[in-house]
Amino acid sequence: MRADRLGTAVLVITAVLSFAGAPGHGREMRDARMKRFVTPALPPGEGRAIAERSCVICHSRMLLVQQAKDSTAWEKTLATMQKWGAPLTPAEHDSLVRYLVTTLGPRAAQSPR
Amino acid sequence: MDTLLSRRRFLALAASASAGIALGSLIPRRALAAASAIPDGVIVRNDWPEHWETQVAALGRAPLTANEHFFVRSHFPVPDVEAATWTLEIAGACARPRRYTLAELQRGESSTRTVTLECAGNGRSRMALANTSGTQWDLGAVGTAGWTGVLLGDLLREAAPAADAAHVWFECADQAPMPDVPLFVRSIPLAKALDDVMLAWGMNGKPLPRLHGAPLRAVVPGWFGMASAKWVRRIRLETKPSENHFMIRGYRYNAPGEDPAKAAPVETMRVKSLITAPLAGGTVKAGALTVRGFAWGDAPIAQVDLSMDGGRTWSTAVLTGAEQKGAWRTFEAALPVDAGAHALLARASDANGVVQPRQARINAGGYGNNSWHEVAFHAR
Repeated sequence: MRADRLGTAVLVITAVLSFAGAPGHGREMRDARMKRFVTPALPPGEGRAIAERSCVICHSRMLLVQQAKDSTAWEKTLATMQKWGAPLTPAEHDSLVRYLVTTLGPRAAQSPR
Repeated sequence: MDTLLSRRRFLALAASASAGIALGSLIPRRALAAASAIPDGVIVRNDWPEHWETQVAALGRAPLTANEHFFVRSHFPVPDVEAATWTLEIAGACARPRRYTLAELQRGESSTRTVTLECAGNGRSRMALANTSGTQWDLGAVGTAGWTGVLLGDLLREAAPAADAAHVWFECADQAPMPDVPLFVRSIPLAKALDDVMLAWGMNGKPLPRLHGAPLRAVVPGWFGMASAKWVRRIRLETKPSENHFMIRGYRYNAPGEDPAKAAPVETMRVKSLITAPLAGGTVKAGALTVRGFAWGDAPIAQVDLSMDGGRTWSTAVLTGAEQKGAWRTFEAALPVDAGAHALLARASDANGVVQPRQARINAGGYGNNSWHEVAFHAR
């Protein structure tokens, strides 16, 4: 289950910490109870290093790991990302698609919740 | 202190990439730091750019959503915008283009209005899609605040729109790290802009937080949140809608496999309800169950119905609080409940007779999911 995987990957330490002050979020944020957030890792697999280098320029790993797509949909996504400047050689492109389809492939048929 | 990559920095990064150095480690620290600590009551769906949703329990605490809990959806990193030097430009098809400082805007006639904003992708994770793109929001990418600012219509009338001006484009200060990514531009019809759209610098009686678009954001009542552009720096009067990526490719109700450009645009919010009490998975006392929640859409809410038997029979909830255009209605009901497991359903209807559907129609982007809200709970 993807939700389980994401839930495992995302570690939110629920201990309430005193907020040292993330810049620019306003006084009301400093007054709120804060909890530490730790970004998840990308799933292991051949191609992870390419994703780290080429995808995590513009957005976090966390956005990536919640996608679910077949090879056609990932090809479409990568075409857009490359048009927008994601640095990928043709060989890296092919490796990355294999990695993404293997680790973040389409969801099994599910009932809507 | 700049969140954004300058062209020079981008070229340096690109050179690093070609030398095999991980670009991820060179991302501006500011963007990463922004999500290093988060308020209780918030669920981080994406750490950067920040996509935060509100826990249903936090939404249920009050009719107005606290600033620190209000959902955040940004397309790009939060830009560094100095309010002291920031200006808003009104330009394009008008007789009197003009530039305003924030102080000049604040010296004019201001007002505060309660408006509900909902991310168009709210509920995406609940849509049965084999292929899904974007943030997998659950239920809490929605909130209501008191927004303080100026009516956009007042500024546009001062600018004297040309006779053929028909659309208003919002151009914003946020940018992606990579220079070829399109800027975020959204447009709305001029008639809507003249009606009830605000440019806000205040949120719930406090200065607008940077995460929510300071120094100035649009607040477009009745429309999904992408229309309420943040960090607005230029407003252009145009004869046509923007053809920006976020107008033509993004925010479209295309079916899986359909070209988004040929599909209907995502615009106004759909009639919808959310149960905030009881909470999913919670335990309540058997006897009289107190039900609370919110209902909203692009038209006034006329009725909210509740069912404890899968939709076979319904009880009508009481709408509480005043009706305010563009803001959600609170609802409340007391229902008898026996000990055991239960599933409570909510279904809203609006003043135009539009009824919230049991199941929203599937679309590839997972937009506009206004399916009935079901809450499973125990009574003992």
